[in-house]
Amino acid sequence: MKVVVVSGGSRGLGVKIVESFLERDYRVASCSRLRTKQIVDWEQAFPERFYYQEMDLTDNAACKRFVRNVERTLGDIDILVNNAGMANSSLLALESDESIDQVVDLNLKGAIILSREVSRSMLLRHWGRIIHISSITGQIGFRGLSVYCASKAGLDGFTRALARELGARKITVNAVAPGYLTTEMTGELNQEQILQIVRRTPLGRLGEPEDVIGLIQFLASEQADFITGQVLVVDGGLGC
Amino acid sequence: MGGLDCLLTQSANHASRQRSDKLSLDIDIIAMIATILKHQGLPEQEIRHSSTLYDEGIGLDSLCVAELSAMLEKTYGRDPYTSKQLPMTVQDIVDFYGGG
Repeated sequence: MKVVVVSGGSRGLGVKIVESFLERDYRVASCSRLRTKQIVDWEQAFPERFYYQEMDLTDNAACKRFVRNVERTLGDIDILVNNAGMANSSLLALESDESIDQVVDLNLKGAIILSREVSRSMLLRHWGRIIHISSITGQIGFRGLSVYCASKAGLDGFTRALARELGARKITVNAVAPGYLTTEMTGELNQEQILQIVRRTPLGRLGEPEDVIGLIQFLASEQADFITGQVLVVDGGLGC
Repeated sequence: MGGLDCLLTQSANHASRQRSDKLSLDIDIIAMIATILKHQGLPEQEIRHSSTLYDEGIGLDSLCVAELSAMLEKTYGRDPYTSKQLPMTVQDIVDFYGGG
């Protein structure tokens, strides 16, 4: 039974990702700032194969401890899904240092540190899957989300470079770039913005988390052995 | 056995254990390097304490070094590479663990 780590599994898309791996009998570990009711439910329902740690992913030492705890509790990590992320909507000219640090530290640096820690044990087993949850905004931009967009574009570059580093050990590194999903993150958009997105989307709707889950499951599987270094867009055609 | 004899025996046992631990450390580290080389499909070679780890020596490339670093950390809880050291020879790694 493979071990998967999903960062930021307590809300939004992260919940659906954790759920999809639990449904397929994986051993799943997750972490986030706050233990939600959903997390408590999973801890009770899957005590043998669900591990959770409340932690700050911008704390490098905490990331390292988390990975060691997962290895001790569930076993060596086969799959990492870097999902944790946040967005602060503001024009850059008005954005504080703290806000910029928060977004870059969590979305980009947190993913890099977790990938480093997990890749070390993947190197020993000559197999692994690293999947970053990026965003279409990293490619097309979005007004008021420049730092978030920069962090996601950074994640895309990180995906390609790390794929080149780890490919020789059969560790694949890919990113999934969803368009606008019906999660808490788009909850901050107003009705006018949402309608505009829907009008520009060839498939005529916002995405659902389930639209992304299938691709994540595929990338995590043995079937995706020959796919690495890719940023795969799931946006209903918005960016095409 | 008198007190002094007992102390001497304990001391001799301790020294013997240290020699044995050092030997085991050397063997383990050399075995790790040999495993990495084997995984890479590289020809078997004699690995000595004085062997240079990279290039013209044993020939570990950067990914092999990353693998060795992870293997050492997993086995001993720490490793020279992530401790900001760059061992040049097998002996340097042994020394890092106090086995010199």
